[in-house]
Amino acid sequence: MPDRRNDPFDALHDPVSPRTPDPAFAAALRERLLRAVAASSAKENVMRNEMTARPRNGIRHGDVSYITLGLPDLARGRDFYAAVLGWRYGQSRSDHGAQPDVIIPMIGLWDGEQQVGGRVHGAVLGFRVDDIASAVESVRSHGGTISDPHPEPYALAAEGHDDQGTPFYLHQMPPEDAAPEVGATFHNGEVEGDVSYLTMVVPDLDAARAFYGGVFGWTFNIGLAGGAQVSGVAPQIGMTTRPEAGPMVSGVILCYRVDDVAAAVQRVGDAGGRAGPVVQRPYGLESLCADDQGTPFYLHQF
Amino acid sequence: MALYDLALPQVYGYLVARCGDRVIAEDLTSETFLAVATNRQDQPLTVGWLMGIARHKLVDHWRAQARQERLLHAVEGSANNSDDPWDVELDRLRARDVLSRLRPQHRAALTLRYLDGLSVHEAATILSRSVDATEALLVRARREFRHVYEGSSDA
Repeated sequence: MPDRRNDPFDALHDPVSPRTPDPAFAAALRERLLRAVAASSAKENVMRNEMTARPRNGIRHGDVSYITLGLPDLARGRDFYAAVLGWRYGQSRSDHGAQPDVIIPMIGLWDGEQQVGGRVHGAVLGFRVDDIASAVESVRSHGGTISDPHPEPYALAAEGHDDQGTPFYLHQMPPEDAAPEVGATFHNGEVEGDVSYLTMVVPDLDAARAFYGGVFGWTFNIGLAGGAQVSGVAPQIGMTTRPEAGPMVSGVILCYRVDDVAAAVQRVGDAGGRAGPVVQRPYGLESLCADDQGTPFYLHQF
Repeated sequence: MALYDLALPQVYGYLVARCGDRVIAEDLTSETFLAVATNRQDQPLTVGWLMGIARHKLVDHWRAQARQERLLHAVEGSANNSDDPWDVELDRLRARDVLSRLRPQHRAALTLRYLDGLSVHEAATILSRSVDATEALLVRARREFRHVYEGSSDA
């Protein structure tokens, strides 16, 4: 061995100095990376959906891809929804999260900070988009604020706020492999525990229609009492300025499908929640409830 | 993608300085990032980890070059593994020029060992050789380097 101290080759040592490559090359590689990540998350997505043949992240642009239900206390939330709706949770990679198997759309209970809005008590929606780069542009041109798209293990994602300050996520996911059968669009869930309906509480209905109509191409049926129904989205979504659940400026109230609303109402009480009277609606039986942490929700028996 | 913006100049800077060719550096940069994108690990991504992958991609590139050139050089140097001490102060510019004219496997060994400052053991891991074989390769590489370097002063 040559003596290290006298090795003339040591003069060759050359620490790395950063160099900015050709911008066209950098941009092209960024595009390739985003596509490669989307393709590899396709594999994970298939694995995660093997529990059910039902498309759990929506099918079309604007469908709900994921619901993050922010709660003050995760453990209490797990127990409550397991008792009332029969949710069973898979392995979670985080101490702050729990994700029930099988139910649609995919939903996560979460007691940590959200990527948008900090510690939210209530639901934050993720929406499926066909092309996240153009969706992000559209959000900005409609007055919203949103991050640049970035790869996550499950999708290309971006997070932001609409023009009235409501947080939301965008997800570009690979197309579902199996084309859904005609009619199998799961607008109102299918089995007990599925999310059957979402009520978006908005400060200004016209502004919300302009924003969500512009970004997702939603069309609306205008209803009574300051409400609007979104056409053709899964799960079905309504917007209101005056929620029956009581005063709240903005947020999302979830509705869950149950087989027997009377029995479910009993379980809500047993688990420490509050349940209102069961009322007959045109679409079925309904009860407005709150969980043991005060989160409002509806039960639906169709 | 924040990491991409941070790591891109580092990875590209390393590769373009080592291989001295913009097109090849761009190819290897792409390969480095795509390898990470399509094969996500649970461990968090860091610039250092990407640099390790870049180094492997560079060695793979030289290895492929060496395979091609081996058709021309049927015999790879002599079996003499002695290394004469060499007392000289290297001119860096001339040294880089010499390095680019060496056989790819010799260029790889010297680059990892001296330009990147890796230990023989670390260089051996990346070259997929034993430590002894890497020592021997370094001896031959230094000898070829010295031969070309001393020849280059007359040119």
